Amino acid sequence: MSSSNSFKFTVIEHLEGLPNTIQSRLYEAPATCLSIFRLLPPIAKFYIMTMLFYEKPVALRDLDKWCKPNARVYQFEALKRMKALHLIEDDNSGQFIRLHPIFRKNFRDCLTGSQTSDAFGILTSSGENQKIDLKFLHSFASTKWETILHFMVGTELSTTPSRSVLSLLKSGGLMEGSGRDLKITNEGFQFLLQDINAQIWTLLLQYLNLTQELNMDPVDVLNFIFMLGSLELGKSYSVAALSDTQIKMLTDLKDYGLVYQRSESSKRFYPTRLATTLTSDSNSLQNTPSMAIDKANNVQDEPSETSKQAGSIILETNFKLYSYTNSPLEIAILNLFVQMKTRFSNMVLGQITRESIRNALYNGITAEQIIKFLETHAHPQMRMLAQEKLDKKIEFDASNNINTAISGESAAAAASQHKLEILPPNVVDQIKLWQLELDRIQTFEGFLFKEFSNQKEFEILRNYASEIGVLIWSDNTQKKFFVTPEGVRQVSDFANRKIQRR
Amino acid sequence: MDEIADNTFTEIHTAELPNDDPSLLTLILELSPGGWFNIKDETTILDVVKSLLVFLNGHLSLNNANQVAFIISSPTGAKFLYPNPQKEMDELRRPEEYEDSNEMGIPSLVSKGMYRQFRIVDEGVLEEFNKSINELVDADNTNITSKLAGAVSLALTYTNRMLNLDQSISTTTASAISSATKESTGVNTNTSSSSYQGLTRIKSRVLIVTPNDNEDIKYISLMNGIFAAQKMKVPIDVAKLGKKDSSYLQQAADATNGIYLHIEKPVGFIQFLSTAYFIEPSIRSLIILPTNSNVNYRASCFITGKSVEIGYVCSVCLCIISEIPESMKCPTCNSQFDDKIIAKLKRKPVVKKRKLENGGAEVSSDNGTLAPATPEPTPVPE
Repeated sequence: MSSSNSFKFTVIEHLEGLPNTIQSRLYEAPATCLSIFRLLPPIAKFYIMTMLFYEKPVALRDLDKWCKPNARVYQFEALKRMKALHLIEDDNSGQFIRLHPIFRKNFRDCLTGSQTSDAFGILTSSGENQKIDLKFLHSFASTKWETILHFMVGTELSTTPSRSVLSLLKSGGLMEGSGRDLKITNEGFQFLLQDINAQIWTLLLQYLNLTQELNMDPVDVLNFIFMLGSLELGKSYSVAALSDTQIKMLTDLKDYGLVYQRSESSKRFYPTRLATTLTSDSNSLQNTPSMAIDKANNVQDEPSETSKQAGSIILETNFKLYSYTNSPLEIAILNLFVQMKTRFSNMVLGQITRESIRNALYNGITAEQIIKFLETHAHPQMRMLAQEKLDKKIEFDASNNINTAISGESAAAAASQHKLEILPPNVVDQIKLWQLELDRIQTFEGFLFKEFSNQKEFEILRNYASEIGVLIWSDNTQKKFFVTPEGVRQVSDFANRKIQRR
Repeated sequence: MDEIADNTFTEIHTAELPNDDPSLLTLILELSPGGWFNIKDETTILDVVKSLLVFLNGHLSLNNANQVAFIISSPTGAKFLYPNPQKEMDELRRPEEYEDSNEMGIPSLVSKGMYRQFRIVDEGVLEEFNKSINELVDADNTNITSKLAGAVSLALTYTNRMLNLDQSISTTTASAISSATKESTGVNTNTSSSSYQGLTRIKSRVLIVTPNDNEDIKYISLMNGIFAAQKMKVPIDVAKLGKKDSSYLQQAADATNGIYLHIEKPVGFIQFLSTAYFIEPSIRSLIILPTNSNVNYRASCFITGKSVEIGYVCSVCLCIISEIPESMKCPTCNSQFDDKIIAKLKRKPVVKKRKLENGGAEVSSDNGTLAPATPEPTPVPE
C-alpha cells in the first residue's frame, strides 16, 4: 500500500464512522460527492461509474462477473467501502444493489453540469486592487505550515503558531505539556515522517473532532474542506457563499496555511496549494496541459532551486548516511532513527545501527515509514544511479528474452520485477529484519470456523475465504479455518447460501 | 538466500490495491459525413458528443491529476479540439477577459456553475467542435477519405509528450510543494512509486469513436500507429458505430489490448461509455474486458487498398498485394519477381488423387521470391 493512498484510507475511515444521516446530508453537496468519489479505491470508482447512468438496480452476481478471479480481494474491499459509506444500498432481497439516490443524483449533476451554480464556490469578479499571485500563495502556505512543523521539533523561531493550532496539536496527541511549554510526543514524530497530505488530513480530522465538541455542524465543516479541494489555485472566491460555520473556519484554515485571506473582514479568500491538492495524490500534476508545459518551461528558469530541494540524503551500503542539510527539522527527524556522528555547516553524517533503529521502533515508528522517508528524501544522485542500474537491467533482460517487448501482459509482469531500488537493498532488508526481531508473535483478531460435516464443505468455504482475501489460517486435517473480523459476515453469508442449496 | 528473505517478509494481508495513478485519456472522434448520415435514424452527432463530454468529465473526476485530450478526424484533417494551444495562450495573456468571453461561446450547453476543470474542457471542445463543423460545411467534398490514421498518430505523439513531460512536471510540482514545506517531507514520491512501471508513471489510453463504414483507412500508417501504441503500452479502445465491423480497428484494439465493441444501436451511448470504456489502465488486469475474440485479421492490399483474404506477400519487403502488377515488380521495393514462380502460383490448383500415407505432406518448398500468403493467423470467412 503506497503512502499516497494512506491518507485516503484515514479519511474514508473517518467518513465511514459517521452516522448514516450525516453521510446522507454530506452527499447533498456535489463538491463533496466528487471528492469522496476521488478517495475511493479504483474498483469502487469503476462500479459507481457503471451504476451511475443505469436506472435499474444491479445484481451482485453481475458485479462478480466483471472481475477476474484474482481480483476478488479488491472487489470485496471496494464493496465493503461503498457499503460502509452507504454509497450502495441493498435491495430487500440482498441480491441487487443500487447507488445512494442523493449521491447518484448529485454526482450525476456534477458530471453533466446541471447542479446549482455555487456548488464549487463563487469566483469573485475581477477588480482586485492588488493581485495575489501564485508565488505569494506558495510562500504563504509554506511559511505557515513550516512554522507548525518547526515548532513541533522545537526550533527557535520568531513566530509561534496560533493558539488554535497549539490546542489542535495537543488534543491530537502530537505534543504534550502545558501552556507554551509543549514537547513533541512519539505520535508527533510519526506525524513528521508522513507526507504532507497525510499530515494535513491528520490535523483536519483532529479539527473535525474538535468542531463536534464546539457544536459546529460536521456536515458544514466537511463540505467546506471538500470544496476547498476542488477549488482552483490562484483564483479568489467569495466569502458570501459560505455559511457562518464555514466563515468561522476560515480563520483556522488560514492558520494552517490552507487558505489566504487578506484580513478577517475581507470578502474574498484564496485557496493555496495545500488546499487544492487535498483530495488528490500529493504528487499531483497540473490541471491543464498548458499549465504543465508552462511549469516545464519554468524549470529551465530556476534549475538551481529544483536541484536544491529535491532531496539530500545519501545512504551507503555500509549503513552510513550523509544528509546535505542544515535544517533543524530534518536533522531532528533523522535523529529519530540514525545515530548522528558529525555535523558540518552544510551536512550531517550518521550511522544506521541496530540500536538506533530499535529505538525508533520502540517509539512506534515502523520500518516502512523509515524506508519510505529515506526513499522520498534520497539525493537526486542516488536516484539517478538507481535509474541507470534499472535501465541496464531492463536492457539486459530484454536482450536475453525478446518476448518481453511483444506481448503486453508478460511485459507488465517483467516490469513488476524491475523495481527501482533507490536505497541499497541490503540496508532496506536489514531494517525490515530488525523490525521482525521485535515482533515474533503476531496476533490477529478473527473468527474460527470449525466442525464441518465433510471435507468438501470445508474446502468450498475455505477457498471462498481465501479468494476474497480474508483467510488468515487454515488446517486441512482438522477442518478448521480462521478469518478476519471484516470477512466473517461475508463468509457466513456464503455458507448459509451454500447450505441452503443442499 | 532469496527463499529466506521471501518467507520472512510474507505478510498475510497482501491487499496491495491497484495503483491509482493519474491517467491520460485521448479521445478521437471521426467526423465522416457519410458515416454519420448512415446512422441518422439511430443517433445524432450532437448526442454522441454530449455523451462523450460527460464521459470526459467522468474521467477527470477519477483523479484531479487526470488529463484528457480530444481529437477529431474530419475529412479536412485531424486536429486537436482540446487542449487547444492557441486558446490557452490567449487565456494566459488576458485571464480576466477570458472569463467573460465564455458567454460568447455556446453557453447553452455548458452550465456556468460547472466544476471548473470540467467546464474548461467542455467549453473548449464544444467551441472548437462547432468551428470544425462549419469548416467541414465550407470545404469542398472532393477528398473525403478518412484521416483516422493521422488522428491516431496525433494522439500517440501527444501521449508520448505527456509521458515524457510528466517526469519533469512531477518533479517541479514536487519541488513546488516541497518548497512549501522545505524540510518536512518532500512530496516527491514519483520516483519511488514509479518503480513498477519503469519510466512511465502516467497511464494513458486512446478511445476511437467512429461511424465510418468505409474501409478507406490508410492501412499502413494505421498499422504503424498500432505498433507504436503497442510499444508504448497504450491500449486503443474502439467504439464502432454504424452498420459494419471495421476489421482494421478490430486489429488495433486487439493488438494493443484494448476494447473493441460494435455498437449498432447507440441508444444510451453514455452507458456504453461508462461501463465498457471506463476501464482505467490501472484496473485492466483485474476486470474481464468486454472484447469479442472474433477478430478479423485481414490486411489491406498495397495497390488497390482493399482488404484481402488470400493474396501475395513480397518476400523482400513483406508488402501485401492482391494481384501481381504488370511490371512484375514489387510496388513498394521494386524487386523483380521471378516469372516461373509467379506462373506456378497463378496455376489453378490441381486436384490429385493420392494414397493416404502421402496425403497432406506436400507443401511447396521452393524458396522463390513469392509465396502465397494466408493472412495470419487464420482467415476468417465473411
